[in-house]
Amino acid sequence: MPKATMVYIALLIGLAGTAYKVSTWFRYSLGSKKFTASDRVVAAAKGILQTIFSQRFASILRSFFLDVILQAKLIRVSPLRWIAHILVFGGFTLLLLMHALGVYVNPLFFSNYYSTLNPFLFLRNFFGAMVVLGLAIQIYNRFIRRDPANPPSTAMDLYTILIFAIVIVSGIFLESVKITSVSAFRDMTEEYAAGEEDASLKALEAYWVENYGVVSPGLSGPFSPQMLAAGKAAHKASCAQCHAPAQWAFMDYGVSRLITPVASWFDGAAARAWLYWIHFLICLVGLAYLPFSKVFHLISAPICLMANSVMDRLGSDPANLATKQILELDSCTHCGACTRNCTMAFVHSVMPSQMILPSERIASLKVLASGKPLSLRDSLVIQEGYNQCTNCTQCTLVCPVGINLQDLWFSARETLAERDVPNLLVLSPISIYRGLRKDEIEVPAYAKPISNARRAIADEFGSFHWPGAAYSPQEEKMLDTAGINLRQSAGAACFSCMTCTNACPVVKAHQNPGAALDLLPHQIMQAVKLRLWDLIFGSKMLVECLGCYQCQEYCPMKVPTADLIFALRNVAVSRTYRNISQKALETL
Amino acid sequence: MSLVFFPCCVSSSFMGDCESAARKVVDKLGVPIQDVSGFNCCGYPYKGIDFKAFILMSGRNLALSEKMGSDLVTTCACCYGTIKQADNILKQDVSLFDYVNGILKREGLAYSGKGVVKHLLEVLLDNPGIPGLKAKLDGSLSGMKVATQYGCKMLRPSDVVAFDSPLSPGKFDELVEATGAEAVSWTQKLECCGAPLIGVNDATAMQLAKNKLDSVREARADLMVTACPFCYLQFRRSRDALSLASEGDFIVPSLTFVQLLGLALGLGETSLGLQGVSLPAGLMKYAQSREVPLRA
Repeated sequence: MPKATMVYIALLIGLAGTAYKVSTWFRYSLGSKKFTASDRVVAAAKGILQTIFSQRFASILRSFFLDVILQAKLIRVSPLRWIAHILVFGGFTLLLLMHALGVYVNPLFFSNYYSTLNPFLFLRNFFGAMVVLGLAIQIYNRFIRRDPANPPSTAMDLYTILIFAIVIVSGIFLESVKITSVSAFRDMTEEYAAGEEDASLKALEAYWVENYGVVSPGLSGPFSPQMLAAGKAAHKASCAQCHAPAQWAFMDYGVSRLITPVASWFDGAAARAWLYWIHFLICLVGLAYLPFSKVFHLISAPICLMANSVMDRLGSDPANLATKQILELDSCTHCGACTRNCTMAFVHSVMPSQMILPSERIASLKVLASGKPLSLRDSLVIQEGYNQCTNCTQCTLVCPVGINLQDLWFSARETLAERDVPNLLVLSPISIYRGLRKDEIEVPAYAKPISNARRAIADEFGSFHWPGAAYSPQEEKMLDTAGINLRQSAGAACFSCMTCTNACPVVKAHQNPGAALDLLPHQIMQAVKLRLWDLIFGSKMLVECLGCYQCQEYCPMKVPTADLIFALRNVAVSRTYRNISQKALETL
Repeated sequence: MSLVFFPCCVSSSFMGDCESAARKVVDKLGVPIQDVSGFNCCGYPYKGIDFKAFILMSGRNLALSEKMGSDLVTTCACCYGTIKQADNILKQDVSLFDYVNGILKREGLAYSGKGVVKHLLEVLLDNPGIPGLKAKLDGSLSGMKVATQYGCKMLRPSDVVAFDSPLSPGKFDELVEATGAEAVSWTQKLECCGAPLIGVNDATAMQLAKNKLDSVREARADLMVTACPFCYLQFRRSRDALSLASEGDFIVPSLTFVQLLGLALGLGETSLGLQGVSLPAGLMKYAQSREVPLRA
């Protein structure tokens, strides 16, 4: 197959993949399904046009130079990673322009382009060295340093680095083999020094062995000054116009010195062809794989950074916000900055769910966004991880590609809430974030998770009329650790004076608290004595206690009322949760 | 003892400006508090649903404090009360103590009970102290009537927190009076703001905020000042959400104690995160005489 055909095939795969990816930006969504793909394309076109012809275009330009070109967000996260990124990105782009596409690009700028002449000979190595150094830093950072705060590396992280490394290493190796190759030298002399006599050709070869690193089986130094002088003369006549000293290609030349002892093995057209094909094909593999790998951030991240410089959730068209979220998913480079700064990441050491780590959630978000059906178990696993988020914004603040992660989590949680899996954490202050963004959620969807969670708990304990079947030993222990022998102290000391109930602000907020809350605080204390678990765990009071500790503070008998309510809520949540997960496992 | 800032999730998520305001205020007062990363959530949201997780989270923060040899300083009453309570429980419960240390050992940390958490209010009362503050604040907020909102966890459970009297607290009021303002007494001073119920039962949450805001108005306060970003968040949000019953009715605006001190120190609205916050006329007039005028 001709090379050009291969290039076109790789390019076609790359372009088709890119087109597919871009189409998902408009087809997939997290949360709201209100907009069709065509609505979203129209909204995006309108938004882009409106922005270009407004003052906000200045923000886009600013973001392009600062965030995209100079990577200002990355340098704030890690100067070392910034250096690595600039080296790899800069070096590779320049190699692409000057070397891979050199035939087209260089004539536009230079009249006498020869890859074997300076500055091109030197520059190609210099750009290559940039990439090598950058990759070395990245490999060190990801695989050698083993910082426990870093998220685990995925196969894609490895492939990406591997592809870049093979491209560069095969290129350097090919060039160094060419430097040592005597057959390549003789091919060249046949073409450009055909008229020379044999003695002169031998002198030329000696000169190249001495100065250009050629390894010749018949010729080896030290050479006489006369011979070198004759070789130099022939060199000036036939070669010097097109060949700068090989030492300028410092990496290729350096490697060629290392392989000198085995150079004769690699001599011959076959080895050079092999290396060439490896180099050429791996570049094509990279090109075809690009839209499906994290290198796709090359395309998506600049758009994401620029879009986020002019978009916000209150002012922008909701259709465009939905589109932007999917674009953001494609922009993630799995660098782990979010996980390093997550206030909850350390919980991962106790609860080994990958979904706790923000950097690891992106993959599950893509599944959620595509609308694929999820098993109850998968939904639970994802939900459990997402719930371990206090919405502290740290991830969003540090993301080098400017992904609004906080909004992604919010949308994902709402998408999961639609799936009817009870989420017991909505009964905790974690819900405050959701409550503050109530306006963005449709009314029935807003109330559903709260009532689902409460119903799940009530159902769980509905059959607990009979006092014998109450706590497991672990639950007994949990109640005890919440205070010291809470149940005993409640039982022993409380005489229903109602001071707790009279002090309770939740009770006071209702016209008819008995009906609104099912049990009042002093009744909970009595119900604990009587072991009326179905009443306690079904009561609204249990989940609506604020934890303000007024009841406990004012209790004349020093009953730890609030601590007891919290301990009961813990038992209610953990038991219900355990049984939901058990049922989920049974459905498998 | 050196001091480090303990960041609060709520303040950094919704009230990011409050945290930067706190840094500016302590700088201006000459109290050295460092910024360190690596802390996790205090554990407050987990107390009612996963008790061990709550203890572990607070325990880890205390272990970090211990390792650094610095006291944690927070501007949030909930973080403060939560960590103090976990500390108290860990000191009594051997099995939880072992559980926490077993996990912390993996990252080379240990909880032994030497870590300390302090509320910024507590720190400022100690250094520069009331006389020191009075000297620095020039008392120019005089005439302003302020209602102080301590926040539940600043006061209760009092045997754990032990910051001030749970029945008639006065330390925060003293701090406010150092600015020259007058701390008024109001009937709902010790009540909860209702924020923990946001997202669980919004109607009750709003009713509690309304009760408090009504009480502040009846006390003829010009301003409510909170020691907790949760309360501040709740009052600011309620102020936007509550409809006024009649004409001439109004809702008293609120600030955090950090912002009040910032204004008294002559910091402008942008550095205190007060853009778009409407303030009482007296404070406006006062603030406008400063370098950066406040918007109406």
